[in-house]
Amino acid sequence: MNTFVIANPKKCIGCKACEIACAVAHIDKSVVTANKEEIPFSPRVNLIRADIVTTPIQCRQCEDAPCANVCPVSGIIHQDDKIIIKTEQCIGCKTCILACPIGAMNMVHDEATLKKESKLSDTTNLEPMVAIKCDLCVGREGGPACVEICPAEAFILVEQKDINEISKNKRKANALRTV
Amino acid sequence: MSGLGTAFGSGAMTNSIDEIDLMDEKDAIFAIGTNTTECHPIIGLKLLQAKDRGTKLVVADPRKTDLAMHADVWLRQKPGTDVALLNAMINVILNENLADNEFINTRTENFEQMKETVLKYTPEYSEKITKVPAEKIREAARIIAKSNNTASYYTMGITQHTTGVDNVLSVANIAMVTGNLGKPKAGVNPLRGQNNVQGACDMGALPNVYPGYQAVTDPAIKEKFEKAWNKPLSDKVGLTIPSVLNEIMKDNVKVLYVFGENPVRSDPDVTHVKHCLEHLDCLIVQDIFLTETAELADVVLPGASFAEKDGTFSGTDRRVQRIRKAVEPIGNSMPDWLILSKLISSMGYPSDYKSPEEIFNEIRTVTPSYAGITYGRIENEVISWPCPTEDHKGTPVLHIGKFSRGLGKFSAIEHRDPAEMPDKEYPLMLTTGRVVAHYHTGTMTRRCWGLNGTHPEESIEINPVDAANLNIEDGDEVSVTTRRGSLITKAQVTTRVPEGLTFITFHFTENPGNILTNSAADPITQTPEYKVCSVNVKKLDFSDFGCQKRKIFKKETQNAV
Repeated sequence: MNTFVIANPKKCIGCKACEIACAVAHIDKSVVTANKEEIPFSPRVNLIRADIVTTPIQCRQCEDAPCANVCPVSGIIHQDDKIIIKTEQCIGCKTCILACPIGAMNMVHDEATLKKESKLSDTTNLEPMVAIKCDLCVGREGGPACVEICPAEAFILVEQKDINEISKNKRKANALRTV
Repeated sequence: MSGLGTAFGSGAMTNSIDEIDLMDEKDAIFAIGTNTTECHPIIGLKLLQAKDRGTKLVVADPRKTDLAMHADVWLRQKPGTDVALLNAMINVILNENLADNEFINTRTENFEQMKETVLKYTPEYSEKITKVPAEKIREAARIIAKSNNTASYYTMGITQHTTGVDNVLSVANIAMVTGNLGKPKAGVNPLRGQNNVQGACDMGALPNVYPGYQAVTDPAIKEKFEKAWNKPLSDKVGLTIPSVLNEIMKDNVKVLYVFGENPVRSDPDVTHVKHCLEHLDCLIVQDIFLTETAELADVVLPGASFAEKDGTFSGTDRRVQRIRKAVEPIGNSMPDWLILSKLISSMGYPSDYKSPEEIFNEIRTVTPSYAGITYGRIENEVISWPCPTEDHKGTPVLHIGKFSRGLGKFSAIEHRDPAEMPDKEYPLMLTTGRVVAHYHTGTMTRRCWGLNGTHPEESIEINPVDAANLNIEDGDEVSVTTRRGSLITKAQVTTRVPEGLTFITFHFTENPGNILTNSAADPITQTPEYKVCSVNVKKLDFSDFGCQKRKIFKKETQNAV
């Protein structure tokens, strides 16, 4: 089963520290340099205010990921219990955005980890947009930045073993209730 | 501060922040006029954690803030109707025999006069004024009265009104009627909005007091300070900011020295402010960045940020804390204390302080409430003033046993409408406030990649019904006009504001909210009515200029806040 990060809306205070930590974790420069060079601010977790709830939304690393299924260049793959976008292959067709039921996919210029070369850049002066989403901060010491930074401890990292543990405990509690 | 000074004898937050962590299901929190998770996120977090442990949360706010969404009871009052709401709650508490009679009888005065006034504010009567359903008023009042301890929290939502003092006195009334003072997990707790505004007030950066709230008009105090400072001193109360502006126009104030403040964005009716500042003979501005105010100055003195200086900040719950320099000031910038010290010297008065600690020790000699606090002690101890001696542990909870003034004083308060109400020309109401990403005029936060990234531009919150009537869709550019001025921004169509109400911040230079606000103020404190004025919102039509009407889409950061 894929690992994923999810937030508890009951704890969220809407501070967007998660967005900032996420954006910072995915650039290879300091925030001071990012500011000076006007690097785009591109978090992969997005805080949403919806009528009666405020909560961050991010990729669920679906088992049968619609985004992976629809990508015409097979640029979204299943690897190491995650769904990974191979940004170098992304042509920006945006089908994954339409396919995702969560709203987890973002389109950004200048995916900072990869400089894309394209003839289009010659005329537009901008790198072509590519898709990004939560990648569980793969390669980051300390794991997902959002989990680490949230002052309300609203995020949890859910792995297969956690689901097993949660389910086992619920079954035990339920069994005791039936006695 | 003025309201609590009248009711209790001391204007400061009565309890301490960390008591929130001790609250449980037998306690309650009453948050009125505070968007706590947005503007005081750490305290807001503690309130939600208390709620999670079972503490009841009652929130009064015209907007559907995140705190309101988590509340057990959310009172959605019309802006400017807080007195009617609070009086009705007291009415319920008295009528349903939920009052703490022992507390009222032994620790307060003027109860009968207050009771007399509150009689007519039945929940049904107040519902007509506040638009809050009578049953909700009852529910809230019962929770507040029946809990073991109820702590009230408030901020600018109730103070930035022409009835600001009245509003605070009414919150104090409820606390006294329910015996929620002089004990932990209770109290009346204004949350100050700047890291050291409490400290600034404590040091007498007010026109009527010396450090420690000692009155300038008191002859004995005057003598004490004249001796300490070896100079004759005035016994006249000085001017508040609005009065300063008036006196500038009358040529009675010729020089203004502004430090760490940006009035051309943060004062109400900024067109008027700019006009006054341009009239001065000399404007001196001391700041860490060249703000709009600094741009008008004759002399700019570069100050140092929090990371570049040593000293102390006093927090909202009267806690005095060290700040420690982490980096050297950039270029020629200097800590404020050093700039002021050099200025004083150049005027011929001896001033050769070697360090902020030396200044702090002088403060202790003339300020009884600080006398027992030392840099050494606060290295390891948490001390809230008053702390009169070095072996005193400080005072986390005020008014235990008796109030600073002896007995707590009830006030009889009647509802008064705000200064400017909607009319045909300006049919919507505008209220102003903050967002979590930005701090005040954005001088610092809009220079932060992360903070600015989460909230890079202004928008005006408008209810879907009002928006539909004006043919406005989410993201449309709109013009926003009041009697004072006009700005252009994007519309954010949301149910966060009720019908008839709009909301904007003051964080953005390009769309400065205070170009719209009213300078009408509370008569006692002169705090302006930032929270209520009348506005006209119109969808921008570019066809006059031969352009297509256009919709502004947000950039690649897809946050639909």
